[in-house]
Amino acid sequence: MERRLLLFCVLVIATATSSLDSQGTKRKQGTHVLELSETQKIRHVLSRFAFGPTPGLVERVRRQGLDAWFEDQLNQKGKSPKILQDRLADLDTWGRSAGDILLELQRVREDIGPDPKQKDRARLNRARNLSRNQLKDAVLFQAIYSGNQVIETATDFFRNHFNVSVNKGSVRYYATEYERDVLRKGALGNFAWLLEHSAKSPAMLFYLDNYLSRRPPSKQELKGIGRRVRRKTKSKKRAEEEVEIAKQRGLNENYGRELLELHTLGVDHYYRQKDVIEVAKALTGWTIHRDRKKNTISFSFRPDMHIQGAKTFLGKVIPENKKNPIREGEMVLERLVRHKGTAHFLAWKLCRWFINDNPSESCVQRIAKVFQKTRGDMKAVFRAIYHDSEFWSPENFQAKFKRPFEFVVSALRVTGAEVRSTRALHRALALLSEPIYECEDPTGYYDQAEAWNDPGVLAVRWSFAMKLATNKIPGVRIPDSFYADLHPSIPQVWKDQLARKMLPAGIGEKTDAILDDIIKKVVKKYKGGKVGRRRKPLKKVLAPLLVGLLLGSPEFQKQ
Amino acid sequence: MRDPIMNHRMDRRSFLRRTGSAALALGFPVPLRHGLSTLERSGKKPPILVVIFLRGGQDAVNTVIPYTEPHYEEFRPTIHIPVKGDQGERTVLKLTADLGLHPGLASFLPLWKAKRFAPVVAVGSPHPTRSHFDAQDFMEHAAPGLRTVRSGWLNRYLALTADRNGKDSHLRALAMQGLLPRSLRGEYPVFAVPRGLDGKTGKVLDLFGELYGADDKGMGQEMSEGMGGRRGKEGAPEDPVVAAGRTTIEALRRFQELQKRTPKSKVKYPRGPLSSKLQGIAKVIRAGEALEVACADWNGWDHHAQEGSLDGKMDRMHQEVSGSIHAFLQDLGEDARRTVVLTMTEFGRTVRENGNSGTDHGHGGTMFLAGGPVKGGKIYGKWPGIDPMSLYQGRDLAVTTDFRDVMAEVLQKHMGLRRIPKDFFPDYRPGKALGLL
Repeated sequence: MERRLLLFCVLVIATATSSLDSQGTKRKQGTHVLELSETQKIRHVLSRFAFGPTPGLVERVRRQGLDAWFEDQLNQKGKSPKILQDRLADLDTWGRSAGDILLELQRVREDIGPDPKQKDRARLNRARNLSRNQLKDAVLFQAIYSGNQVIETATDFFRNHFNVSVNKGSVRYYATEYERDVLRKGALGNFAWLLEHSAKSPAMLFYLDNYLSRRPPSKQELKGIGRRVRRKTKSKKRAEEEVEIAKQRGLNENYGRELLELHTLGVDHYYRQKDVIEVAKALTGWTIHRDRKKNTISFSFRPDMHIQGAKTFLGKVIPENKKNPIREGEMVLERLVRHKGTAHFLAWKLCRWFINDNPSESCVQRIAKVFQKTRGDMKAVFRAIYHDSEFWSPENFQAKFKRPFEFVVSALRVTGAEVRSTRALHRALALLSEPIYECEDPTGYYDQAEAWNDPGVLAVRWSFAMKLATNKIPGVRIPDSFYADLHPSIPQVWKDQLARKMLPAGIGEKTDAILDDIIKKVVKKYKGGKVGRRRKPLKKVLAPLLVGLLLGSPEFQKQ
Repeated sequence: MRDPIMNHRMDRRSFLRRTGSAALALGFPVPLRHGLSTLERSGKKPPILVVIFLRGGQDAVNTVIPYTEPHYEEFRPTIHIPVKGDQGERTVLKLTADLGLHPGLASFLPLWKAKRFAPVVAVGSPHPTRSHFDAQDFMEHAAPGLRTVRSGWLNRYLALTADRNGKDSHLRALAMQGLLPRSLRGEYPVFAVPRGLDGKTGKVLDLFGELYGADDKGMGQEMSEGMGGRRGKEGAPEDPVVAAGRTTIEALRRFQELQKRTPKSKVKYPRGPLSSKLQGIAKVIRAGEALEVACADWNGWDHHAQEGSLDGKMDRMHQEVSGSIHAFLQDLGEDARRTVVLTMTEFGRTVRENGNSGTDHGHGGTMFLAGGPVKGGKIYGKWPGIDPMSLYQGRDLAVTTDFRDVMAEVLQKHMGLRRIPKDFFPDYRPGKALGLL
């Protein structure tokens, strides 16, 4: 009898909720949907220009109006919760310059002295890793909690477009400034500015070796080196060796190539090997300078390292600029920004990132036109994507496979998780093959399904989902408030309520049926006293399980 | 910081001491060789191919070294490997009258002497790209210059030779890393072994088994068939996420079962990223699983600066490559007779060193083959020379062997593929047989 009553209740509420669902999201079975509903539109924008919704965000955006919300986001007028300020305030290196970061490390080194013991080594390692770890935290916290999600996703794009890896040499000390003063500043600014400042950032100069690239030394300089070494070491042999090594110093084409291939024109578009070398020549002398007195590490141009003479680039001459040779490299960058190939390449990459893995050529051209006309005004470009008809096409709704970073961050956001410690989250990202700032290849992490949806990887996502849902991730907790509005007693309703909160496109038929089935099994076990060791209320046992299953469901892997 | 290196060197020495046993394990005389059909009939164990991709561009000229060419030292004043040295100093390991190995590759010598190791020199792509990412794509898709080909060559092989009744082992092929290399991507489902899973994984797999339509005890099966799980009753294509999830569950269950019942290896591997991957692959083979294809990547060969000569980055990496492959074959024991390890890299590097004691992106590269079926003790491929007149575009080692010649020969002679379909290697004209296997 009791059972029948329960079933009846479920039926009534299920029909009620499903009609709500159809009102809210217009999910029609079998018919071709021509346009997204208002709710779907909000959820779509929050899936692409945000790392998914946080509890209550869809409603807030609806109240403000989607267009107004987006415009506010472009102008960074969103409000962040206090937790973000608190977390960032704990990261003392996040606000520091590279000079200060290295100075602090130097102090630790001096404090330890020349003969480090075991525990000193551990301390030194901690000091070496400090700014790197805090940088990773700063990226993660802002992605999760920032009220300005458009700049978060835009920075995410450019972090991969202008990729550097903290695993190469000193990049770890330079990357904090790079993230804060280059990428975040430029992500909604101007592409020309971004390109120039990435080219002149110690992080990029080091990561792609340009700081080493120089003209071969002259005979006179070699003599000078020989004399200096001899005076210092009193060894003729050492001096000769040093001169031999110095003779070999010269051009390094690493940055020149990636500048054309990855940052501007796209691989083998418009340029040839000869252009790579000419670009590298124009950029000789762009190096890193550490001023120990002023305690700064910054870009500097060294005229003595620069290769003189005119350079021919993409069929046009860049005349030698004797007065101001740094202009030669700057002219290369400016020419690249104006080039139609750059506009097309950037537009194509952005469309793949924000619309779908295979955007139509006409869409790419529309965005490229805006890029070229505005000389890379990124606000205008993002606005163009937002207003493009292809962006709103129902086929593109929930059509992109989440990258691991997007999966983890959106899971934390959608559940309103409180993050106190990030260690386990960084580990999860590493296991999912996308640790922050650790992409070794200058391509940055790819963002197409093809690159991530391999058999095997989902197991790590499932394990993460279940741990998050059951509060088993150290330092991470889903607050009770997340469950506060669940129906007092009917499990099937919990499922519907949670699915509506968590899945932008709603629950698929198959997932729905299987979850119903699992609910039945758990309820039966619960009644038989087999689950809930200390007789927790059914909701405390079942609701987290449902959250975990929803986070691990095929639906949640998409955005 | 330097401790691991010290240990590593120690390990290498102890490997050398075990040389004899390795040669024995690989076995003389002629190893098993078979076509697939005889294999099926006799129920013999299948041939195994292990492909290691050295990403970043392994420096060919400091791998197999033209030690007699006058330009070698001239072009590489700070990074050349000395030909002569005092007692105990490491020098070029001479293989033939003109070519020798980098001394970091010393662990290959016993295999070379046992005729189970062979380098292919000046091998590479007919496409001129010096982009890592294009060159890797082209090589792993075995389709130079054709960006429309999106499936890997190994995946195409697996699809072509798949069991018609779908009875292939879920671990017929795998990548011992979190993501598949491009060579294994494509329509045939291949498992990328996830890392860092704990004892609760089995439970998690059971939970998600139904959601992803994996064969399951009880309700799940009914359910997934009822809902048109596999292919969909109307023939609608399955959601790729669901498909990947199902393979994940099936393959991971099997993998974990094997891990549990297989004892730890007694062979000592050098420490490092490649070693741990090869150790994992060896464990699957030792468990008796019908593994045919396994892949492992090693990124980090892009030595634009401070490449090093006798010491330094490349030397350490070479020590691990040779040491771990040697240990791997030893670990396999009898199974080494049916195993070929193949290393490849997207391109070689400039013949002249650059301004920073490194080398930039070049053209012709090197491949290594090791294992029982390899007709080793011989260098394959025509050496083009490194005098300026012979260099490709005046700067790089030329390509004299198309990398697909090696792939084709491995598939036909080792994996038992009788005939390679016409579009398997698009736009490819087979070269002269190399006779590697």
